[in-house]
Amino acid sequence: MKALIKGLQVIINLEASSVMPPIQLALQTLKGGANAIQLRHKGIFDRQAYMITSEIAELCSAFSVPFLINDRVDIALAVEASGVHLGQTDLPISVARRLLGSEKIIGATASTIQQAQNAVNEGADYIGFGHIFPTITKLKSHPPLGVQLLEKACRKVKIPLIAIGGINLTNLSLVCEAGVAGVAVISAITSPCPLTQTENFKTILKAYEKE
Amino acid sequence: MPIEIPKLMLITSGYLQTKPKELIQIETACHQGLPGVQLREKQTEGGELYRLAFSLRASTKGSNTFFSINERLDIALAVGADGIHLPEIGPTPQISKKLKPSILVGVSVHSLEMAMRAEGEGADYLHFGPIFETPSKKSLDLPQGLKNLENITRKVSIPVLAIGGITPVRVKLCRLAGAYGVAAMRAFSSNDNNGQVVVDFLKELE
Repeated sequence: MKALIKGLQVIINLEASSVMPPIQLALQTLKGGANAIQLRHKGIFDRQAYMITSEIAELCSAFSVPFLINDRVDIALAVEASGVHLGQTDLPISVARRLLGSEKIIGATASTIQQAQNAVNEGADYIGFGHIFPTITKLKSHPPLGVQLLEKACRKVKIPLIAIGGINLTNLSLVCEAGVAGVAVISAITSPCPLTQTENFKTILKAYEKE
Repeated sequence: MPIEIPKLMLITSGYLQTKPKELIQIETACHQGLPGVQLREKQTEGGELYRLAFSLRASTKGSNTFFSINERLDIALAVGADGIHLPEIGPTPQISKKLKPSILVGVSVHSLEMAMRAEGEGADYLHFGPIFETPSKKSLDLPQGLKNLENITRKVSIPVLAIGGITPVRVKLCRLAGAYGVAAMRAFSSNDNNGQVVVDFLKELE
């Protein structure tokens, strides 16, 4: 059975220098209760990146947590990940679905309700909707979407919606109240300590579960 | 019909996205009997790369031209490419073979040690270079020369394609050094008549 994407998705960027090596970061956030890990790596997937990815795949499998690869369907297949996450400029969802089959998870980034609905029609399993708040992680082509649009998207989109972009412990409640299935975080999880920070996120998220 | 490793490989310029004319040039080259095309567009994102691959697969199919894609096995699988091309630092060819046993795996190598490793790991053919000076690889890569090429072709048993500064007049030298064939980017991208370039190369490869 395909796992449902909800709760806390931790995005690990291989090339970004972080507080700790990626495998360690994965382990810490898994211990803290992360509900999914998404690995991002732009550029050449070299042997080292591949080995790190395989190890994180094994960790996720040991914790029974879905492991998603950003963009690279081939890497997802090779390390037997749970699925992929596709941005608007990545492989088309329909192509990825053909390669992965129906049992794998496909997530899609959307920054408008229309994009989200297109992704649903193409066969996505969940939507990463954002960015909701200002963020420094990536240079953005549009202003933050805000909580109001997020709420509207949650009402209109029929598959789980994960909010992304500038989400921290302070604004997490606002996001949860909008009706999301979960949130995705990158930089907010790393400091001061990924394990504690993951637990802190989870505590707030749990308060909004099953309402 | 199983497709064979090409003796002449055209490598795309890296600017296909902004130069649609190059796609037409490649199609012309295919019709002139170009044996192989390698899609190598490092700066292009997955979605656009898929569209380029789809288009090139269509132009190469009719002419029975070998079609290989750099690094992205997913896109190679999606469009039914014949081959995948990996950098020396890339994952082992066995991973590609595991996902698609019939795919031909090429590996770019820059030393004898890496050539032997790639062969041992299941590569079907190698690109070795740069043989000559070339503007597409900056001065970081000193030319390997024909002597190193010969040393490698003697020690590995899989086909070696010479790359780097290859022009039709240099083909014979590479072949004398034991190269199975050649791969070129600039010889094609700097010439508006790709059909003629193919004819010139093929004459030397006979």
